[in-house]
Amino acid sequence: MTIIEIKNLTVNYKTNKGYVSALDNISLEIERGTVTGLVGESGSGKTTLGLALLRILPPAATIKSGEIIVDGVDILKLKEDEMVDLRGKKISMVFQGAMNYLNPLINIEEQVAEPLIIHENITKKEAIRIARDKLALVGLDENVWRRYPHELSGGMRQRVVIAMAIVTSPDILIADEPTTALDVLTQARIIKLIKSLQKEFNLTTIIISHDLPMVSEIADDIIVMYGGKICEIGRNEEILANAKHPYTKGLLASIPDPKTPKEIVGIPGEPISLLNPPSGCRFYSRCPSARETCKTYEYERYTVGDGHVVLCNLYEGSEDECC
Amino acid sequence: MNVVEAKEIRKYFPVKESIFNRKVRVVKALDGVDLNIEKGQISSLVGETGSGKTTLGRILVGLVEPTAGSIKIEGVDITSISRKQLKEIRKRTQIIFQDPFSSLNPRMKVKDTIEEPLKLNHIDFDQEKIFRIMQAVDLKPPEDFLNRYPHELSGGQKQRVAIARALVMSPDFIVADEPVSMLDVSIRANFLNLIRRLNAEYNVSLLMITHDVSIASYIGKEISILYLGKIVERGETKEVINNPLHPYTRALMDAIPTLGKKEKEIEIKGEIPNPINIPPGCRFNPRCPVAMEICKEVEPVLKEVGKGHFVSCHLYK
Repeated sequence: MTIIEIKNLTVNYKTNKGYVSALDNISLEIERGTVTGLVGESGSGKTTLGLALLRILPPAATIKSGEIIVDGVDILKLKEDEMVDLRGKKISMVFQGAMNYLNPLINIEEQVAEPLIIHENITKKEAIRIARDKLALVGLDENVWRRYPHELSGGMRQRVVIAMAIVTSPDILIADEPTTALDVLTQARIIKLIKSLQKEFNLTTIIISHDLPMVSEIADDIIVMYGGKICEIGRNEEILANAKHPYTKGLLASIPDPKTPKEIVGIPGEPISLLNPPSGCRFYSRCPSARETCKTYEYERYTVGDGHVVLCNLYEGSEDECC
Repeated sequence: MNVVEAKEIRKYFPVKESIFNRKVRVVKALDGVDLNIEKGQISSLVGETGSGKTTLGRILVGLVEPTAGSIKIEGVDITSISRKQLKEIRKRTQIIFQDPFSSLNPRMKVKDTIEEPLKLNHIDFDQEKIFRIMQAVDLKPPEDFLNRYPHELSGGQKQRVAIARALVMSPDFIVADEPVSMLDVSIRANFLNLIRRLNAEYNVSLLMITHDVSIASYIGKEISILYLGKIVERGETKEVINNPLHPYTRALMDAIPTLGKKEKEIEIKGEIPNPINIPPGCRFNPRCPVAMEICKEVEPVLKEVGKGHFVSCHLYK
């Protein structure tokens, strides 16, 4: 069952040099209880998409068009106070680097309890009791509950932030770069934790990351973004084994694997600037398979397999059946 | 022949507990590290945050003075020579820093940044030399980049300028301190290939410092694993990757994300401790899944257990 449906979402940022096209005509669907990996490099629009889902885009952003339907409700049409009810309770987010922005003056159980005090009508005592449950759930035991952020390691603080995100029992959890800046061993543990929480609560989870190998270890579906557009959507295994978009293929070819050494090949050129982007395919200037028609290419979705969608000129006419 | 021979390197940083407390404690960032780098070879140094890898890199190029130990660059011990002699050696050792966004002077054009080391050392050069270097690091065509300021460059291009600045001195040895960690994945691969190419073309030896075993395994012929200021395992990359011996190296290998869905068991407990409180005995023992009684008391030494494969662990006799 679909829990999130985004239709033709376009978001621009206003800057004094012109507009930045952060998301351009994004459409996607996410099934309830699945893990979706949203993969792209810096400037691909992946964080903007996460923020749009919570409707907490910065003031410079404008939603030009589109719908974000969560459980049948277009959240872009909700009033702000209705949105407040949705945040935390329905959709929660672990922000990038949030573990560095915990309040240094408040002990962690009180910080984790805070969303409850704001969103639910319960006493502080009750809120703290629930917060403690969640802290235990993310693997933090009693002796750290009353400590302050500076007393905890990076991995522990990331667990605190995750506990804070799930304390209101949301249906949807968005985790933006949850493992960046953590050591490899801690990374692996955090990913394991997210996966176990997802299973336990049937959480619909969206992991936003630049790290395709990490995402591929837990995601059911993968969405690849480049330059504010979606390149490819598909089942994890399908994307890894049968990538279609030249950008996805390029990404896969640029990842070294220590156990099976091979020559890696990067994608030529530099990520494009989204400031006044050119028309046509945004990957055009770096694409090894680019054709003349890509310059003016209007993005179309081609279904190339079960749930496998690619937005690339090369696959025009190759779809199994039209949708 | 070795271009770098470092022996028993120690670096202790004194820290005061608080402003009221006179008692000074020491952070043992490096606690007896040996490292040799063969001429023309890329060697990688892998470690987590706090392992001491950056300190070691800086010591090897003479930016930080070690508390104890000796470092020979092309046979000359840089810890016991005069400042003037050190300056000569420094021309031949260069470093590329982690963050290209802060290692370039924002007020200097690309051209001036690359020329600066030559000017400081009173070395004659012509425009053609600068062009050649820029072409070698794929800043092509050079004319397009000469007069740009760092803010007009992408992250990958900035890091290429940093390499050009290092390379222009024709060094024997370059330390690259996490040079790709700030770059996007698609750019990273090109950059790693560029480093490999320059290593072959210029016969320059390189120490690649990274926290990422997959990068280390791709680029280094030799690999050293640093944990809390000590090398726990070292050997040929292929051998260490396929046959990791130290429990820490094994855990690292298991933890690296690789393509494909999987469930992982992480046996290692906790996180790297503060180097003020180095555990007695083997410094890895509190986190080790196979720790024995002896590990709590006796510190193991690095010993050769296979051809060129060294490990510091009581499991191996």
